[in-house]
Amino acid sequence: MGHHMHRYGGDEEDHERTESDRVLFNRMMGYITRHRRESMLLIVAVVASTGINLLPPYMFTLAIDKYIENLDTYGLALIGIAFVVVYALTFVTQYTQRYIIDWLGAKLAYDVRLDLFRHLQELSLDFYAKREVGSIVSRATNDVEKITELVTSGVAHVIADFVTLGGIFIIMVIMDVRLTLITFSIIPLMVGFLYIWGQRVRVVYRATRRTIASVSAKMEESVSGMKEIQSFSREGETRKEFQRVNTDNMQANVQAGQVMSAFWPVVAVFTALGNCLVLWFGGGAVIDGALSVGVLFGFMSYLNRFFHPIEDLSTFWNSVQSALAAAERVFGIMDSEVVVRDYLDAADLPTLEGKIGYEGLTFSYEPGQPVLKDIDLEIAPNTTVALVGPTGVGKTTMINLLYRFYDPQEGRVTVDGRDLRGATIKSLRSQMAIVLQDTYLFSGTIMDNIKYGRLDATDEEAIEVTKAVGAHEFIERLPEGYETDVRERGGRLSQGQRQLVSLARALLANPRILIMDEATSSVDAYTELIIQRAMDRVLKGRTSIIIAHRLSTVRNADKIVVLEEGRIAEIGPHTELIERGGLYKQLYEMQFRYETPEEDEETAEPQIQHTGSSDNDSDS
Amino acid sequence: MIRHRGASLAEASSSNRSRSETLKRLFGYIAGFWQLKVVLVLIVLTTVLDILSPAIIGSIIDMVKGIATGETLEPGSGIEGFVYRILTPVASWYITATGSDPVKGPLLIFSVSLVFIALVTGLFNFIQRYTTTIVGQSATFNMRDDMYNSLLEQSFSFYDQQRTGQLMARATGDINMLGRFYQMGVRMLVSSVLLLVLVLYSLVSINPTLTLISVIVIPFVFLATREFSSRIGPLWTAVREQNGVITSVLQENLAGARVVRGFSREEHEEEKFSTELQEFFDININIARIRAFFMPLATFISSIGFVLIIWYGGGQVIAGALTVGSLVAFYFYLARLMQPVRMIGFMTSMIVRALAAGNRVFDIIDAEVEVHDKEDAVEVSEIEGRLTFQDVWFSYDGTNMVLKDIDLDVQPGQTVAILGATGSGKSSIINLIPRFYDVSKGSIKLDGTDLRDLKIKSLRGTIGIVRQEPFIFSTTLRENIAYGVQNAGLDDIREAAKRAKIDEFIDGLPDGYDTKVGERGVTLSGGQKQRVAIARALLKNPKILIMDDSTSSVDTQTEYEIQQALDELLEDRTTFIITQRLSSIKKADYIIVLEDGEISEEGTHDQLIANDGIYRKLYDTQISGAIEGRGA
Repeated sequence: MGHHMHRYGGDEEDHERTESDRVLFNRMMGYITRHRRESMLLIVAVVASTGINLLPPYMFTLAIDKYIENLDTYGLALIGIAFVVVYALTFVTQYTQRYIIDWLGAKLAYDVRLDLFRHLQELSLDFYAKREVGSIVSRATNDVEKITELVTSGVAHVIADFVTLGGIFIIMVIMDVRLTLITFSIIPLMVGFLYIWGQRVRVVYRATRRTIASVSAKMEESVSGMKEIQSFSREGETRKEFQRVNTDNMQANVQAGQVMSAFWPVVAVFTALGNCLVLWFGGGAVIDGALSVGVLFGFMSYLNRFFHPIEDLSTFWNSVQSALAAAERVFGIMDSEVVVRDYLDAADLPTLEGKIGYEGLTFSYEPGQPVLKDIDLEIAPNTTVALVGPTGVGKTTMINLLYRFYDPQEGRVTVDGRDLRGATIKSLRSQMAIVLQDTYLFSGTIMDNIKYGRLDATDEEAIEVTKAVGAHEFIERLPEGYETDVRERGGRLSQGQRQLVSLARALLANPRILIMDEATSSVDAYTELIIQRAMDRVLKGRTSIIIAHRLSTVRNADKIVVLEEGRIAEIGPHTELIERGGLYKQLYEMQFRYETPEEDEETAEPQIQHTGSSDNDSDS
Repeated sequence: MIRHRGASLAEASSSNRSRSETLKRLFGYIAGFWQLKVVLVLIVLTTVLDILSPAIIGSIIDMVKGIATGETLEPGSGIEGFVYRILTPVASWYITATGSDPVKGPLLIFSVSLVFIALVTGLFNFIQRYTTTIVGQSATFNMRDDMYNSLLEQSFSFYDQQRTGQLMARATGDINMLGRFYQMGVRMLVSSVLLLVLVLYSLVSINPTLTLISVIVIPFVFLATREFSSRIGPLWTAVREQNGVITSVLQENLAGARVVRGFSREEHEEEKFSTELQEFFDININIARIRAFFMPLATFISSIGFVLIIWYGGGQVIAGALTVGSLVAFYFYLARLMQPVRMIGFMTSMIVRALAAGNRVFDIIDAEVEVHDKEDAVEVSEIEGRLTFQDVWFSYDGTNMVLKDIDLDVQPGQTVAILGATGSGKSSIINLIPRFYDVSKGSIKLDGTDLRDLKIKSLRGTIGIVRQEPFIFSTTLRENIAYGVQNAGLDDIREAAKRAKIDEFIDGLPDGYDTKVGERGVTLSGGQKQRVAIARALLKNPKILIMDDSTSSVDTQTEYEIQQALDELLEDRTTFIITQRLSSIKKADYIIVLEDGEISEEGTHDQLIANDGIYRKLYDTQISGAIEGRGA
């Protein structure tokens, strides 16, 4: 029974679909028609192998009636040879059928996944902001598998099933019409059973999917939160919670087992009923001399083959449903609109001088909720500008716009006086580099990760930049030095070490514009000291934008831009802003107050006006 | 911070459990169920009943043919004879009871007996399958439970080497696989062997020579199957591994989307991905070739058996040595015999996969718990909170010492601030106190008792921890705050939240304290998570507090609020704090500066400033910056 169990293993196929079945199905089949020749060959092979496979019982019938009954030894030898030929043909056609099914399946998975991946590379970041990585990965793995399985082996099996059923019917009619009708009188009964059974199956399997999902979720949460569980000695309660979901899952599986267990015994009864009818009526006919023994045998053989295709077809609908749901999810991603893309007349940017301009810029992620309002800012080439302000004020958004991760609704962003929308994205981004707060490294060696900044850099060049940012020392101390595999997401390195590597990566790219988004906020004071020393070297000779909460790190910027509620509140160098005594000074003093030895630190209540949005880290 | 305690539990099992041992243990999970005996009896019954139908069919054909041609009926031998001898008296009884046609009467009885047998077999079969499901599901339930319990016990060193995804794969995929194995494998194994014996007996009883000729093909089917599994085995492993590679390339690409875009590396990524896809495709095609060849081959070889029946058996019928009915019965028996023979490939691969899955699951269940209670460990309840480190050395992997010769005596109620560069051993020190790891050398004592002499749970009961990135469970905020305390009242929870400065935020939520985290878009920022964790620790009210505050990725306002919550928290507790906040450091009773796992400087703030070492340098850089700025 195992071979069709997996058909029920889908997930999330229960919700309503918005796309019509026909559209989805056509689109799935569209991938098949890319390989028209192979598909045609597959259909031929399926029809041939199924058809040929129907011959042996009939030949057996002939052997009994024509040769054995007539004591024809020569004819018997001939039909023996015919059998060998038929079986050899079965072998060839089956080989072809199976090979093409697997080939098409693998090819299709390749095509769909690559299409999906390509599109994912083009999608803007707002797409990722709304989705979890895990769910997208599941689209590219599980869902793609469901689709390929349906359009290759699923469709092939359905063709084979219909050929088998049709073939059996025709052969039976040729052998004896009356006996055919008698035999087929059990079919309405069977269809009724399958209908009811199929509905039960759908219900119980839905329950198993739901409960196993809870088991997974519980397990995953426990593993992720294990430190908390153990620190608070909550093992007992957690265990009970797990046992509850585990029990639910077991009960659902037992229920499903009950329904599944009924299938083959019932089918066996139907087969016996069919055999009984054939033998009773057919046997009577043989006694009366109206029917041959061979035909009797033939009917029973074919009857045995009748149930597999019917069972197959009755569960096929489930796999179609599951594949359609999968297809909708996969195509849903492929159809996601690429918001930021190269315009037709976009031109490559030459090497930038590094002048940046925000002109009358207004931007919102959600309609009606502008994050940036009417921003005008000019950044001169080769200067360093710091963006300062509470969380959620739009600092990262300004960076996102400069990178063209988004396009503004009003106003424009320019580099060297040219609107970003007139430039190709690649020529823009290839001249920029970014260092983020939550550093992202790829699994692979440290060297690979640094060279991600410039793929054709030599080892020497890479080492030179690591020295410049002060990362060389710790890398050398690792057992395998630069060849150390940092593992998934750089998990083998500490946060501070990852930060240094990403700094080296950005520096190796030697960008005209460098962006540091809270780049040093996660490192300890020690590492920060090292980075601060490297900063001069890093920032020199390029335009830099720094975002930092710790104001001590931005003091040396040429210009500090203080944002408040999506607008520029103050602008100027550190000393000037302190003198002005505005928002910057308030922020600065508040931080300063508990970072320095002050007598009144216990009592002083900092005065700050905009507490409303400060808790929302929606600044992404 | 580099941790590599040997190879992690990778795809392949790292244990040296033998095959028979694994099999025995897999069997152990079902051996205890009395239902298993019922299942075995039912399997035997259904298999035996199953074997009757071809004999009945054969008898009927001989019967009708005999009547049609006027020959006398001869009861066959073996099962055919057995069936005949049982059904004939029933038939004569039926004829006398109903007065029906003496020719058609037996025909009806014989035919209907097929349905009767199918009904009985079907009923047995259903009960057997259903019972097997119950046994199999109970076994996998227990297995999953064992695994989960082991996970709850495991020390941190275990989780250092594990990827969540792999653990999950074992808990779901592998255990589901074993469930199927229990449900199908057992039945198939038992019934196949039995069927083989019974069918062979039936065949021999009909005609020994014909049997010999037609089963000649079976060894060849075996050989082909063996060749198939030995060729396909490594490819299955390869395809699974490559699938893992594809998934992780994709995962990294998506999680690092900002970096990919930032460096404009889309083409490079696409190349990487398509290379891996191509590799996956190639392996799959190799598998396809082998499968496409061997599966039809097994069918082909077994089909030759049927040709031999026709050819030799037909000859026998012509020669009068065999009846047509027997030939037909023979055909159906052979068809039945070929079923288990063809299943051999499927079954061997199933057993191999079940063994592999079993090994992976048992690896977790058996994983040695590194930190565990000694037999004579004692409970701690009331403690003063004095912690003494004596000559403490610690290493994650047994060779690279991350802590070297740490001596420290912390009095009850004191606050110790730990400073040091990344990787200097700060986190290691605080992980040793709740015994997340045990020291490699030396000892840590609580109120004079070695930590290893204490019951772990009671020790942890006295310790509160606020982590750098606290884990918030997907449940209500109330439950998240009350996580450490049984039966905490809402008033206490509110009070804790208030002192942690998170109450205003919670009150502002539509469902207040009953708001579920993660639902309807209620997510917590880093600062909020940290304050929930502080409230959690406040409610637990531990004597010893550990605070990892090395990250400050929150804005000034939030930082100020956390700071205030912290002050509440530190009162009257022995506290270890990793921090960069100078205010916290300054307030500490004692400061230690770690360098490469050693204490390079220690003392109070004033002492260290006077000492004019690293601390002084560090302090000056941060402070001077601030003062300069302010003065300017």
